[in-house]
Amino acid sequence: MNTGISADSFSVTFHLPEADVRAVDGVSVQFQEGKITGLIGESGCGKSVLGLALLGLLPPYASTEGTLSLDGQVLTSALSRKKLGTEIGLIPQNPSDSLNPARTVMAQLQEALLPLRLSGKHRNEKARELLVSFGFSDPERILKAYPHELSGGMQQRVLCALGAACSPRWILADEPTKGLDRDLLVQVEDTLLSLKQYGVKSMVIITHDLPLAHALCDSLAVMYAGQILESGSGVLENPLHPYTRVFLDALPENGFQSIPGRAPRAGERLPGCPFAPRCPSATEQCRKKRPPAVSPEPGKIVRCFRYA
Amino acid sequence: MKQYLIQKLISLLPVLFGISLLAFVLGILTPGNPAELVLSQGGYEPTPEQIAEMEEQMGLDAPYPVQYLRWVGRVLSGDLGTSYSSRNPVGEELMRRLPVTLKLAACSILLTVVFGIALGCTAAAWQGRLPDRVIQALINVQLSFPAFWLALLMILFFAETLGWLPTSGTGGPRYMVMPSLVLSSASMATAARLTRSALLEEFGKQYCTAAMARGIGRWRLVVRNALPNAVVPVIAMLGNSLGGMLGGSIIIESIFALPGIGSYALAAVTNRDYPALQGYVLLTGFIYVLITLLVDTLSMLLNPKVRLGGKKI
Repeated sequence: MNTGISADSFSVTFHLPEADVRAVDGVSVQFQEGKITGLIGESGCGKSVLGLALLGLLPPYASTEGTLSLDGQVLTSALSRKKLGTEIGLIPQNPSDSLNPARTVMAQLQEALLPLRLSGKHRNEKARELLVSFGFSDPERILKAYPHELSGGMQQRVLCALGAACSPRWILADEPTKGLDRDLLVQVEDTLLSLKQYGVKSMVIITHDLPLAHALCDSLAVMYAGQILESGSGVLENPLHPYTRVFLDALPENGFQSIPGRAPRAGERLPGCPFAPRCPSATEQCRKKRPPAVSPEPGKIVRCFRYA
Repeated sequence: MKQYLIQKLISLLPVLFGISLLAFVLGILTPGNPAELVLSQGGYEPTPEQIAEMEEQMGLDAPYPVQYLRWVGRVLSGDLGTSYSSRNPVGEELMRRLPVTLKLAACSILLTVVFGIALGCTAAAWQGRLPDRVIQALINVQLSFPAFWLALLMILFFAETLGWLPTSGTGGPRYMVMPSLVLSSASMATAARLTRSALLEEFGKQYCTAAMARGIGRWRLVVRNALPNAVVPVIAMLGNSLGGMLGGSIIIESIFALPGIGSYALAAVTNRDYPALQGYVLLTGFIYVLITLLVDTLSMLLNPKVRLGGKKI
């Protein structure tokens, strides 16, 4: 399969003064074109780092192994950066921190439209159009406003407009619902769905908000300690990996059962399955060797010896 | 906003009072009797009667608080006293010389702003790479060269050896090049260093990552996105160094023989001309306070949150 984004044994290591930290560890996964894929997992499992790698925006002290590719073309960080805006757009987390506090919405929108190389007049028109299509009835006032004059929901929609400004084929939404209240959650869902009407065909949503993932995503990838343990469609309905099961059981609506033990610390590397120390059905083999990726059901990939 | 300005102005009153008190006390504490000093300027020895008469004439027999109030009253009406050495009004002499110092300070602050911020931006944009290292080395050199030594080296090189620039005096813009370069050297380096670190801090923030994800270039990220947020501490620092330049111009003005208020103050010290020195302290103190007010207001205006208040649409 050549279309879509794929990672092949992809790893990211941060070289920090104290130690080298492997934030993404040998990930192989497919994000299919035309679909919404959710990347779910606990905080610190490496999902945002994988997102940054996709954008080519890893900090200089990070190094990568393996490959990321888009439609079969290997993405180096320089190549990813060239595709930013026009092919891959970002909807960043924390709306209030992601807009430039010292610049008006107009200035930021015009900047986002630069890759289209429009004339000044057309750019203004396009900026107005964008705001209208993301639900602003009074674009003139919003264009002149500074971010602090907007409510959280408005900031979120402005960020969606910024990410979608050049109609990229792919959108990466990083924790779009983090820190938002219940009313806004519904708004964000609608806004993300309206991106599809705006010409964005494919999306990767990084989140730990499972109801959002369930409502929006065609398929999911479950990440734990830098590795993807399970991916495919119907992950939430029919979890295969023991981690996915206990992760779902830990949700408030499923009984709030905590997972015994602790997640591996940053930089800690286990020879076997990263979940083995906490897994109820772990065997000696799980602690010593990394489980292979197997496909017990069509359209699903799981890394667990139980299915090998 | 208006309220803030009024508060600020009120808070400056004690500072102005302190400056005036200090300038007044300077006149009292200085060795020698002012009446005697006035009379003996021509190298002539006054009799005790003459001194007593002069003391009465100058109001020196009154208690200090009364003297202070009288002095403040005269200062407020524009009379800064008469110089012992030239017998001219100090106010007039200072005003005649002030433009030279202000021109020097303006040129220096301009150099500091333009080159300091440009160097800081370049270093931050290429963090850890060659341009950054070269600029960091330059900053260290600039900070460790004392101004007077740099001035002598520049005169030796640009005036004596190459003959490009005049060594001293006033005239066209060419006369300002070396003095303002020397006077701005250290503050330029400080501004560059501060701009660089403030920019690097902004780069780590979420809005910069979001801006980069829109596919913008390096310069656009630095100048349009990060700089407006990073410039606030730099402006505060520039205000301080502008004040420092007014004071530091004493050395530079005397090296390059510029007839500004700095060289006037130096001459006043050597001639024990206390009214002139008092006038200088008062004037520079007043300008310093004015600059502080200006800088505070400016850095407030740069923050749209403060400028527009917290209102929501």
